[in-house]
Amino acid sequence: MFCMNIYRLVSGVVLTIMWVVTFIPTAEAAAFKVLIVMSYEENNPWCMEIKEGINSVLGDTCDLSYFYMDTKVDLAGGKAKARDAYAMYRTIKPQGVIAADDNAQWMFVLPYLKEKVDTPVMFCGVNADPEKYGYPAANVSGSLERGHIRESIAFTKQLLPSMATIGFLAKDSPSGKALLKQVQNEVHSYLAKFTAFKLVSESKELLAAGKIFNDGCDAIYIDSVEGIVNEEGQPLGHREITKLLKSVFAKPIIGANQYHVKQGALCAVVKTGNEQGRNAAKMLLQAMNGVSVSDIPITKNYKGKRMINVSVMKAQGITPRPEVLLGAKLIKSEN
Amino acid sequence: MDFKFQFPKVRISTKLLLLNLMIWGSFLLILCVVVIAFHGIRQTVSKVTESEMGRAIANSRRARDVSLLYADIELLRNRFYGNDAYLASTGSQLVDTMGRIVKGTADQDIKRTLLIFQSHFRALLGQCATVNGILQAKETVDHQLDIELVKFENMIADLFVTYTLEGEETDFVEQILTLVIGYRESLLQIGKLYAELGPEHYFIPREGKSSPLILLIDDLTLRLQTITASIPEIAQYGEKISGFVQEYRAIILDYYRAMEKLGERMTAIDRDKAMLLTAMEQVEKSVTNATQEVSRNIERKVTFAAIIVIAVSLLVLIVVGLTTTLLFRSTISNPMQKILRGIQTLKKDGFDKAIELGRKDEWDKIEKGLNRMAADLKNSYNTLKQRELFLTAIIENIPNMIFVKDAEDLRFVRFNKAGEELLGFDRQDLIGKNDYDFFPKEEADFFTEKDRTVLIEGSLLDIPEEPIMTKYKGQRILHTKKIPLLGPNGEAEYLLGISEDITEIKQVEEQQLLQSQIMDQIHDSVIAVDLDGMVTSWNKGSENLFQYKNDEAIGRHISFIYPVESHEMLRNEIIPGLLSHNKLEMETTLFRKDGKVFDSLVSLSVLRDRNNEINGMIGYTIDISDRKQIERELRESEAKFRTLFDVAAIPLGYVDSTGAIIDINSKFTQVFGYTISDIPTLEEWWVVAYPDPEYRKMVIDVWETAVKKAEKENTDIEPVEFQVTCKNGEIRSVIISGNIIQDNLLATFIDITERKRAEEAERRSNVLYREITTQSGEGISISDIEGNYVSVNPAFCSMTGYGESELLEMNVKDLVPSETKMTLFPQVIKGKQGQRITELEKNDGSRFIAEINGYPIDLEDQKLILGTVRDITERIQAEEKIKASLKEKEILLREIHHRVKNNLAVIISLLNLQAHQIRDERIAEALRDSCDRVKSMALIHETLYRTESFSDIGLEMYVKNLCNRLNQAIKSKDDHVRMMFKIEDIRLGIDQAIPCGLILNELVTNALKYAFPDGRGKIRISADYSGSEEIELVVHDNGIGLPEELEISKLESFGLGIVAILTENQLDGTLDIRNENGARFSIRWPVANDNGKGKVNA
Repeated sequence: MFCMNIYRLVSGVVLTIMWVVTFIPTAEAAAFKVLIVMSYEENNPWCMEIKEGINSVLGDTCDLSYFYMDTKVDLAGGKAKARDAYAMYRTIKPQGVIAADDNAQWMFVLPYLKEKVDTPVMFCGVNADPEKYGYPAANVSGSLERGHIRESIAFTKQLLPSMATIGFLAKDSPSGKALLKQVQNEVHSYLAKFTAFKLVSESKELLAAGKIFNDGCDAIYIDSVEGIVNEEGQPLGHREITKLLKSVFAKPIIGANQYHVKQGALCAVVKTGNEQGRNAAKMLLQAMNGVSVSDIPITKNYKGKRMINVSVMKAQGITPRPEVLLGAKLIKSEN
Repeated sequence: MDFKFQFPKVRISTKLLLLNLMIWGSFLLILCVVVIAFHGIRQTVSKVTESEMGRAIANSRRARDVSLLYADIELLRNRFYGNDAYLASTGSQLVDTMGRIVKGTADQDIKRTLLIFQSHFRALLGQCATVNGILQAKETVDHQLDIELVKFENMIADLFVTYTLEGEETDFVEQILTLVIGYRESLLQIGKLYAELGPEHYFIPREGKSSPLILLIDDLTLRLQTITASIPEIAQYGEKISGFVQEYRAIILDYYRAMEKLGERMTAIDRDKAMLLTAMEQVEKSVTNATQEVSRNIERKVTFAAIIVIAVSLLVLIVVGLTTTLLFRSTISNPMQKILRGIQTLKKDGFDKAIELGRKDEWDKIEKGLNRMAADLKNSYNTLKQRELFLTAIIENIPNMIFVKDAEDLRFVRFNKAGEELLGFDRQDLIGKNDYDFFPKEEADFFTEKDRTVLIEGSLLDIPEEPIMTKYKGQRILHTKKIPLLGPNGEAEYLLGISEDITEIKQVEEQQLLQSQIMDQIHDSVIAVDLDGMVTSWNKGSENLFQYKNDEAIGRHISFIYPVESHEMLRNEIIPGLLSHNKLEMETTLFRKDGKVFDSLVSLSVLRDRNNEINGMIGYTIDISDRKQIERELRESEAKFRTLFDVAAIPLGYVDSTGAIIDINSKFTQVFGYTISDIPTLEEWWVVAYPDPEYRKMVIDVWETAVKKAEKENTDIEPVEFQVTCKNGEIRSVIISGNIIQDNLLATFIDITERKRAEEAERRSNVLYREITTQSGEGISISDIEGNYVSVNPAFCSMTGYGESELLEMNVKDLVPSETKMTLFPQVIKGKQGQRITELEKNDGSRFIAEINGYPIDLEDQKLILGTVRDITERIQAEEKIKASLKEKEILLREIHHRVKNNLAVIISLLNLQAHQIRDERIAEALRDSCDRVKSMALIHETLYRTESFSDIGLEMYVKNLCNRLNQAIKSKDDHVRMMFKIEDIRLGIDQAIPCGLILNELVTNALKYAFPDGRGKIRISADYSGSEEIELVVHDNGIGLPEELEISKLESFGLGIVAILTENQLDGTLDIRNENGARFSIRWPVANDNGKGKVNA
């Protein structure tokens, strides 16, 4: 019996040592569980950029779980998705949550997490004013998404000195409306005369707006247009929308995001999802490491990058001065 | 006119002295006037110099000061930028200088302008100070901008390092760093451009947009706009730098404005300068006006002085002139006139009176001298008159004509009595006139020329003879001597002529000379001898003939020119005969001096004196050696002519002036058959040669006209063509011409009968050629070796659409399309005829297909190319149609054979089917046999539609195919029957091929079925021509052979029966069956002809 016990003891020690050797490093690598709730679909370029930014900060140390609400494709289904996301939250019990873009805020954070749980929540990609969602909250902070509109217009004017008027186009959505508000606040500082801001929901409206802009302004600035539906009610991606817009608008299009330029805009001082994701991830890491959320101020994206789509530039017949190309990233259109 | 103002008792020298004193006084008066006038001018000039010139100099000095001042201002304007100290010191210094100038200026206009200038200059200094202030501000901002940019760069560099360390994305920082480098470059460009533009750029008022500097700053500002899209630290710096840039921009705009104002100030200064210069110009103008006024004053004074001087001078001249005239007339002119009148009186009155002046001055001595000279002249004149009378008496009594002419105009001044008698004119008529007044112009010219010669040469001239026309004695011959009579100075003053009348003497001399010349002009020898035979006259002809000179012959006996043997005859016969008959003519031989003898004709006659008594003989001798020689040569020439006449290759006839035919040559007789006896006269020739009267008349008329024309024009008789009837009745074409030799006529006959025949033949040939080419349907052309057409026929014109004249201007190449290479023409040029089918182009551009044959034509002097062209367009088109039709029929035949074969295949299938359904093996076998037979027929049709020919088949291929099929169909797997073929290249028509195939089918089937019970053996099948008329097909196996009792006529075997029937009925052949180490079947049938039932191709 004793022998048996001894044997059992030795075996237990050995197993314990083996368990420690095997599992301790794993526990160090996945210090925190983090749930990331994306407002849009998984293959949305913006979401992909955000994910890239989050992964670059938390990827090595945290257990990341992603949830996609697909609200670009199915806005109406967003709330159900939000419930699912909350169910996931309850299942995995994360130490931190990142909620990307406006839909995730009002559909998911506000009903389920804001000041309802202790888990720190960091938002990113939020176009609306934070006050709209009651941010900052006790457990919510994050990074606002602000387009570099003024800088983009200035940058475009360097490429196209004759540009005198500018129009704006966005989807009739919370993000689009937030953009409208930003424009209204900044319009006095733009180097081109503001002509109109069109919020559209359908492709028909998009084409009508494009025709009006074609007659009335020298360039248009577009952002948050994904999800505009076609005649069959199918939501369109940014690429399709740009293509559709170009069929009626022959002048330069100024984008807001990196993938906008890649998908057919002439140029932009772009904001990147990467920066949004990195900002939120870094803030969440602070919170998860013990910093009080209330001590983590809301921030926004700063790192605007100058990008020029040389394919579009050539197609538009623009020959830039060499100085304009200094400090700008030149890309060509994605197929 | 007698002047009271004479003072004859006052000396002339005294009067002249008084006159000189008067002239000196006048000049003194003029001098005084001039001195007073110049004194006035000097005073006026001094006054002007002191006042106006002083003003001008002061003005110039002021202008110099202003120029220096302005130069200093210009210097200040260029150097004040950023140099306040310089601006302050130089500015105050210039203000002081300006004050001094103002103070030293008396002219109020200039002073006022200088004060304005001073005020503007002070404003300019103020503006310069403003500009310097702005520049200082610019430098400050520039410096701050530089510092901030350096700080910015350092901050970005730190950020770059931090991001890298933290693993942050660095693209963004890299972009910012690149942007900042760009900003710095732009700032450098702005600074560089600012420096390059220069002050003048900023003087011009301009909007900010049109300034390159502002454009650069705006561009930089625009580029700075994007930097705010960054983290707050960077954005803050961006805004700060942007603020500095804006400040810099504002300073630059201030600088533009200040500089613009500075420009205005400078313009004001320039304007003041211009005004100042204008004011000074005004002063200069006023000085100039004053100077001009003074100049006019001086001019007026000088003019006044000049008038005074001229007036005084004129007055003096008048007074002096009058005084001098009066003095001259009373002192010189009047006494001189009195002397002249006194000399005239002396001459008129024979120097008996004296000259009287009645004066006591210098003229008194002259009066006495003249009176003494007059007395001496009177004595000399009397002596001279006596001498002249004596000389005149001598001259008048000399019998020769003496005349004296004036040397200058050659007028007669003296003539003697003998001259009057000779010329028939009185002395009064002759004196004062010259030769031209009395003698013909030629004579007068002659006399005048001689007179001039004498006068020029100054020596005696002897004129042996000179004719002269007299009034009563007609023309006379004079012997004249002319001598010049010299004056005291050695010059000829007169011409003295002495003429002797030698007319009679000259007449005698000429008579003698004439006779002598006549004798000398006779070329023949004329010799005169006296009665003793001594030569008394020997003319030039005699000298030439006998070679003895006149002096060698005169005085010698005439016998020296006769041969010795003739001397006796001369003495005894010739001289006596001549004396008795007075005349004698003979041909004899005489001697020359060189001893040669010559033939001569001598005519002798006697000479008689005035009493008609014979006193001599004269002989006229002609050398007839040449004539004798010619006579000999003539005889020889006649003999030669006769020979030539006779042997001439053409008929000749010689007719004299009476129409008698002197001779005809042998060729004449040979051609025409007539002898001289047949045609002794021309009349008889006309009759026999031209028997037709009308033709004869025409011939005679033509001939006589030609003869007359030749006689008239002294040419040969022109050739005329006639038809001459020969003695044998043949008519020949003859061209007759002739030559008139003296009065005779040599007629030449050229027989052109053969040539005419050849010409006719050629003409007919040409007509034929023309008709052929004209009527030919083929185009015919002839070209030279260059390809140029030289002849074309109407058909060729019609084919090409060109006119004949057009084609004759064209080349062969012109009808050949450009894309077609010419091959026939080069071949024909090389001498090889050839044919080509090619396209040619018509005049309207359309084309036709031509079959062209080319032939070389070698003429003696030229090579030509004959081309015949046939338009085969329609033929080619028809051939194309036929080919197409043939092709269509071939397809049809192929289809027919194919369908027949298919139908036969259906029949085979039906027979096979039926054979399978029938149980009776014999019937089934029969059906299978039929099936095989039909197969053999089907094979023929298959062979036919598979070959190109649809009417016959190659027997070899057919036989092999058929036999191999049968072998394959009949033999069992154990059978080893070999088929051996030896078949010639025979082609069979379908009519023979089908029975042949059926026969072969039967024979080979039988052999395969029955000949080889053990399944092994050989079947030889051969086919060849048996002779040239038959084909033999042999099927020979080495099997068991045929039954011995086999009779063909009784063959029960349907197969062999068919063979026999087909051989006889279808092939019209024969069947031979025998056993030769097996069964041997030989079928022979005749070779079918082409239109028969089949055909055979070898």
